[in-house]
Amino acid sequence: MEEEAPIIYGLDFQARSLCAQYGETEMVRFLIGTQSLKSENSIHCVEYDEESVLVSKFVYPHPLGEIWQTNAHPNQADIISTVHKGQNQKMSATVYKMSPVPSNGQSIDTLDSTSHGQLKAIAILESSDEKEVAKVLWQPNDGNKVVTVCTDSQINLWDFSNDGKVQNAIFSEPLCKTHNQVTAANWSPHHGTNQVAVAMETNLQVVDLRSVNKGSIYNIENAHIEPIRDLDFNPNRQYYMATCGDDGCVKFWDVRNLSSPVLNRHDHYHWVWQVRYNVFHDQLVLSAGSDARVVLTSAASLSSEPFGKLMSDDKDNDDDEDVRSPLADGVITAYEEHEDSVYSVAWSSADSWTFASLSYGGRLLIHRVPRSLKHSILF
Amino acid sequence: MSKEATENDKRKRNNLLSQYYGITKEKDVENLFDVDGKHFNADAYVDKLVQETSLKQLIDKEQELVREIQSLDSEMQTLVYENYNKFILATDTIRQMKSDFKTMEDEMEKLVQDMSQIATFANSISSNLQDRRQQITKLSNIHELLKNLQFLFDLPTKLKSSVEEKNYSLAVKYYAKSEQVLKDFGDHPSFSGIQSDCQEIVTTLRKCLKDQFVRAEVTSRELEESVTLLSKLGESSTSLALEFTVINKGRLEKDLDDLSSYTTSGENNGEAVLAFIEKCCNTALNNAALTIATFNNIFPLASAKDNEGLIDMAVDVINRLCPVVKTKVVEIIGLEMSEGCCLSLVAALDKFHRRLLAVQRLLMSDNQWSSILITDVAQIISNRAAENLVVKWTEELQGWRDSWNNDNQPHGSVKFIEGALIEHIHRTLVALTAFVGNHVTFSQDYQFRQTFGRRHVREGVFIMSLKKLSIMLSNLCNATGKDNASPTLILVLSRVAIDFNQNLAQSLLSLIEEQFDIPAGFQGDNLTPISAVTADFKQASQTLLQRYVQSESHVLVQMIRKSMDSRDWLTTSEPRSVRPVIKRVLEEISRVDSHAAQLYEEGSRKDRSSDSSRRTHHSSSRMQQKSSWSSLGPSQLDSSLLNNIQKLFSERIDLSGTVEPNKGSVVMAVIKICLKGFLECVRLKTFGKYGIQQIQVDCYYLQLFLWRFTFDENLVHSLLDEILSSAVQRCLEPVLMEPGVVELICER
Repeated sequence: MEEEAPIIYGLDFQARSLCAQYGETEMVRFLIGTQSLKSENSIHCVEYDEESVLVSKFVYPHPLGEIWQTNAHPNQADIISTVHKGQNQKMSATVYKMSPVPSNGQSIDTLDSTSHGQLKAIAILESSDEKEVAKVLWQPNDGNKVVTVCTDSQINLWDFSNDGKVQNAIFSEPLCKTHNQVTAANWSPHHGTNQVAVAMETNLQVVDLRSVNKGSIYNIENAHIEPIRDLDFNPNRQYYMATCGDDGCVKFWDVRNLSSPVLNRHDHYHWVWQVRYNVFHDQLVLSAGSDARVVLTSAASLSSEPFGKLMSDDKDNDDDEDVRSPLADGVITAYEEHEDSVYSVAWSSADSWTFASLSYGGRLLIHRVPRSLKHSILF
Repeated sequence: MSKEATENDKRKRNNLLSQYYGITKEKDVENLFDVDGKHFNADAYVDKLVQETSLKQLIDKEQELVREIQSLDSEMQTLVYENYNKFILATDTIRQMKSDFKTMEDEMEKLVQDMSQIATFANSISSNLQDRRQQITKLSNIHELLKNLQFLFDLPTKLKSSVEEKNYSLAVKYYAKSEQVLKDFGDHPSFSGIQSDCQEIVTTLRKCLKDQFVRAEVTSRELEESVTLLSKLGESSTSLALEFTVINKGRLEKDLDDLSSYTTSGENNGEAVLAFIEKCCNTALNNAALTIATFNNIFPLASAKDNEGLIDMAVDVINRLCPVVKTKVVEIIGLEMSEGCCLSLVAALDKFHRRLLAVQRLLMSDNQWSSILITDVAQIISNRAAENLVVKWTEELQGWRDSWNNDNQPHGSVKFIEGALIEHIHRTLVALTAFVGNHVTFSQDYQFRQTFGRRHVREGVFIMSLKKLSIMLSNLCNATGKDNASPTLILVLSRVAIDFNQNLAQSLLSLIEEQFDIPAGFQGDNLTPISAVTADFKQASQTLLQRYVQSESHVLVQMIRKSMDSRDWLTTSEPRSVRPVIKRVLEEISRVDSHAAQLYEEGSRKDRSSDSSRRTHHSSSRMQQKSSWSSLGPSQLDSSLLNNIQKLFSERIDLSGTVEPNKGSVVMAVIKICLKGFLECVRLKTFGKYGIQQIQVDCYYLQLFLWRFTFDENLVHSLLDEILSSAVQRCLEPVLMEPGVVELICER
């Protein structure tokens, strides 16, 4: 499998948070939030032009302190949310409007690179009792709502549907009374976007937002033997999700049978910090870990793409085509170009074959999946 | 005179011979001077004498010659006289003979006259007796006829009585005698009655004989008798043979049915098998043999076709017997197999084998019944043995897993576990050696020994069970929840797997090769090479070791993480001591170290010296480095700069390195994962002035004690450096403690 050399972009600051700018559907663009206690933090908007193989950036200063999490609005390019820690050393969440932002399909180079962007706080997502926020989640698809999950597993729902103003916030009780802290959370794109999964150390609970105080719909006790660091729902198959944790494992679950994972991959040598499905080809799963590696895993057996069926249909007429062997489950490529722990990884929203990974030292790598793999999936 | 004659004769003969063979007289010249020679020339001789000899010699010679001549003359006279004398004597004798022959002629003439007189007398006597003799012959003929008639009239009664007396052979004899007559004169009224009576009786007789033929408990002698009689009564031998075959087939089938519904009675499996085989031999096999023998006796002249029918029947019976024996034997022997059980089984099979061979010789068949049967049974038994072995091992492993006591010393446990595992396989092998015992007939067959040793024992039992064992060992790693094995047990088992990899598997194989006649190190015949098994064990031990490292470090990281989470690092008070959790971690690491040291070699240490001053030297050098940090002062600690400098000097820490089977590598792997976890925890926190000082103290303390466990101190140092520098980056007020104070706290 030929390796394409990754594009390297270095930030001067440490950073943990990375996401694709989902609202932008034509340019490969990623948002990075820096994490520095001493210098001013900022959101770096990084754009990668595949043809010129150039990386350009635009910086939006973030005055409210170090950024622990950056989340882009699912379809508005100029709206983001961050989880940040300011002078008061308290984790809080804020929703911003970025300006300026190039219109869809326009390169970031059209902005005046000498100037800085601006982040205008639209909403400060604070619960009344000043709890620390662990995660901010955008409602998948339309992004009209935001959920903040506090470290004690209190879930707050914020409704932006009316003209971007916060309305009708719902505050739940903490999901569990133990002092286990929330380590991961994600919002399911299925079931009418009513389900949110929250991981507290080794346990995973999924709640319905309409009846958030009535306990979880289902939960997985000890999904991992060490804390869960991230989880992601399969964007195309409603019953499947992936979790990762400090035990170095990425586990795939069928939520209809939670006694054991349907697939358990132990491909990292240390904690796995993030796991992400490719939205278009959900057999491709990225995971990033503090062993300084990014692993591209195939979960073809759990994929929504019926590869095996297509195969058998074609078999009669083209036996000689050996490239089209079905993708097996397992590691496709392990990227080892990072020098430090990789805390975040994100698929591009504009090109399903491109992804970025971010390591602690501020090194952003932009990779493309191996071409042979791309061919084997497409054709 | 006679001497001279013979000499002359001789000379004559010689001359003739030499003439015949064409030998030329080479010595002609000399012979001229030989007085006795053929070519003697007197004149030449005299000339020669006169020329060559002196006078004296001449005179002597003359005298000598005169003497010779005189003696020759006298000799000649004697001879003439003697011959004349003999001639006179012969004449006398002939005259005597002439008178003697005359008397004899007279005697002979007299004898001839007497003889002719005797002949005349004899002729007259014989003519006188002629009439009488004819009359006597006639009378005796009539008597004979009457007697036969009498017999015919008596026949029905006689037949009847002899049938009633069951003296069938007599009856048949009578009937045979009269059959022809009755047939010839059957149309005569007086005979037809007799004939019909006879036929009626004979039908009864035939029926009796057939009954006897069919009767179940008939002896072969009776059978033979009835068959002989029946054939005399005109039954065709082909149909009789057919009937015989059918009857015996029925009997043998009954035997087969009995056998297949045989239920064991004995409590001991081995004895039960022996009893069953005994029954097999005594019923089905024995009867088959008997049938064939009887058949050959009764129908010595049976046609090839009849013979074939019987043989086909017998072959068919044995064909069906073999599977019955197989299933029964296997069923009786059951799943539990002891050594004694195997011995009995082999003895039973051997007996069956011998009996079957005997029957086979009788059948003149070259079927491989018994060898196929025994090979099949051996295969089933060895498969079962292998399964049992695996089950035993599984039970043992479960037992150890459930009842594992963490105080167990790893070293002793390894010996104990290996001992128990080996014990089980030994027992299995010993039981299986019964099949190749010296006294066993079928194991003398080279083919069987080879197949059994190679395919069943080596492949089926040894390779298969060891492969399963390695899988079982690996599977222990994947178990979670209550099936989770203690880390120490995992470590112990990793050593066990290595021992299997290194020598145990090989020595077991050697044992098998020795006991089952496989050439040592034999690789051909599609045998799985031992390396395939050892590779599995190597893999298993690797998996177990990694699992061990994982679970030990999991515990440690969890301790560190909990300790990090439970403290507010911004507002913590000034450090006065190393945090207890760090001490705990060190204790745990030293426990891991001591456990690993019991089982594994030290491993190669990069630059370890035995220098006892090592610790102080090392710590002072470290302190210098560290003091250079603190001298930077808080204001100069630009985080990004520090970050980049740090990157320049620290190597990328490789966490992937597979764990080598040595102590150093195991402990190092645990330390690496532990410290990396510590680092990650630190990066999630924000530190105040005292918070970072606490981390500084902890790191220094770790550095003081960790070096002794590793052979790569630099790696530990760079990890600790990274922890501290990350803490500095995460610190709002990065003021480090004076190194002297840190040292003081740590050594307190």
